[in-house]
Amino acid sequence: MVAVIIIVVVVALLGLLLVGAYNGIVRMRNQVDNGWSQIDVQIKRRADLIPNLVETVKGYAAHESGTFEAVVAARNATVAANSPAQAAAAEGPIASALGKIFALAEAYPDLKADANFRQLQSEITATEDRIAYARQFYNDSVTRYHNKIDTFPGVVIVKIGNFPHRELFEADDTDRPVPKVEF
Amino acid sequence: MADAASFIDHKRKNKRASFVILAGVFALLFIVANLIVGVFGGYSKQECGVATRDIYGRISQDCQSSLSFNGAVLILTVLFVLGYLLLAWLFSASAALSMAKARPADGAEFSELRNIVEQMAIAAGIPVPAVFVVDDPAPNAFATGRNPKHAAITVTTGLLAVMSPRELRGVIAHETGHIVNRDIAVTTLAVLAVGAIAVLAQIGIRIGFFSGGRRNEAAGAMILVGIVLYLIAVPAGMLMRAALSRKREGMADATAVELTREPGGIRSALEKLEADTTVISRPSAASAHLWIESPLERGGSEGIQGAFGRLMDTHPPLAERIAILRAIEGLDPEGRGPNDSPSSSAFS
Repeated sequence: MVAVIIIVVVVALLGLLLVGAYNGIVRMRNQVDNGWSQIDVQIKRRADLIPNLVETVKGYAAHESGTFEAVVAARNATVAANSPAQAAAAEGPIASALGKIFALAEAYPDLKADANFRQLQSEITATEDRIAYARQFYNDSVTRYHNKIDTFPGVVIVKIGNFPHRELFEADDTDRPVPKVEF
Repeated sequence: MADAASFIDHKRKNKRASFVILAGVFALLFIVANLIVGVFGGYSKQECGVATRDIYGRISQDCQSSLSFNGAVLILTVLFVLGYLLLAWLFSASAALSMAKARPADGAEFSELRNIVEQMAIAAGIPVPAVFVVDDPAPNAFATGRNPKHAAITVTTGLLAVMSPRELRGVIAHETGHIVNRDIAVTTLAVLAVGAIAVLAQIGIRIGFFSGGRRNEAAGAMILVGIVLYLIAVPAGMLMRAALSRKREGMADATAVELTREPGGIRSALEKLEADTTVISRPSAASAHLWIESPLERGGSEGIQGAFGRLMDTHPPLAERIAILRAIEGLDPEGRGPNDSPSSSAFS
């Protein structure tokens, strides 16, 4: 009788541990999804600002059509991307295209003085910063999630659900290394 | 533990600490409520004698009539204390904000500040906190809110005046760290626990003296328990609160490094706070633990008084925090600088 009770208790405890570990993995997967949607929101926000920017710059530098086409094409690529790898690949062209369009301000003093242009430039720059921080959080979440599902007991638990590995958002330009912190 | 998302583990630990503190408070409340009930029962039904000190089984055998009265007092006491804790818990954030005379950081002059708060919230994966400013020349900042959904970050105008954008980002990342790590919830609970113990101890002593004239044995017990609570539990609670708070300052510095990916911003900001000698014009010991730098002036740091003062401090010495950050940066821990010049401040 005592043996039966002990077995029941042990099985129940193991079950509880498994449920806890499973829920932990689900939470991490949701965090990864949430991290990705944060990046997505900021990329869409930047994409919404770019047509206004192009219209504003056209008013001062109508003949720089090559620059406009490049930035519009790069913008469309960021919106069309539907995976972290595609989105990361689209980041390089948009960064250089935006860099060129902002550089036009140096050649056109009237453009540089335009309040609307300066407003758009600061908003787009702020959005780029947000994308960088959202990417940092996403990549950290993915790494943590992978550590969990690649080690025991996660590696066993993931067999009973849908826990695929996720792509990192890896752009080669601005990734900053994580400093080592030990307190 | 070097990635931003690893705070979640730390957050869980803090949640556990909150539960332990809560359980302690409720155990204490239960004991004191029982004692209060005992005394009330004692002088309403003198003939019931010693048995009335206890509200459970034994009473119903000896003194049936006083049971309902005791039960009512018990329920009232518990409801009163629970109500106090709940209200204090819900309103602690707005109380701290109004105590500091904080106003919402609306307007164009604070757009850079709001921008940095939003960046750090994104980096930490939490909803963007509300942003407040305090008109005070002393540079300081604090975070409030019982969970990330109800969080707010408050900075003084003095902070905005002396910090460069990079340093401000470090400070905001530190405050964001307090929010993600749920430090505010834990420290608020600790403060409430100490407050509740102090109030109950005083109630105990007063009731004890009041009914002491009737030579009630329970009254003597009340005085004793009240005094013991006061002498042991209150200082112990304050020490615990201070220790809890000190530990979390270091953790929040670590979080700041992880969120900004560089120790230089928060390090330079702390060095500026260290060099600054102005103190907050409306300091309050009750909310001292919230600020990034202790808002209270301290006495000498030598000898026994100094050692005791350090035990009661809600913040570790800035020099210790700076030394850790300088070590991460590969700088001499005892040295100072380089700092960003205040002229690079994005604010005026």
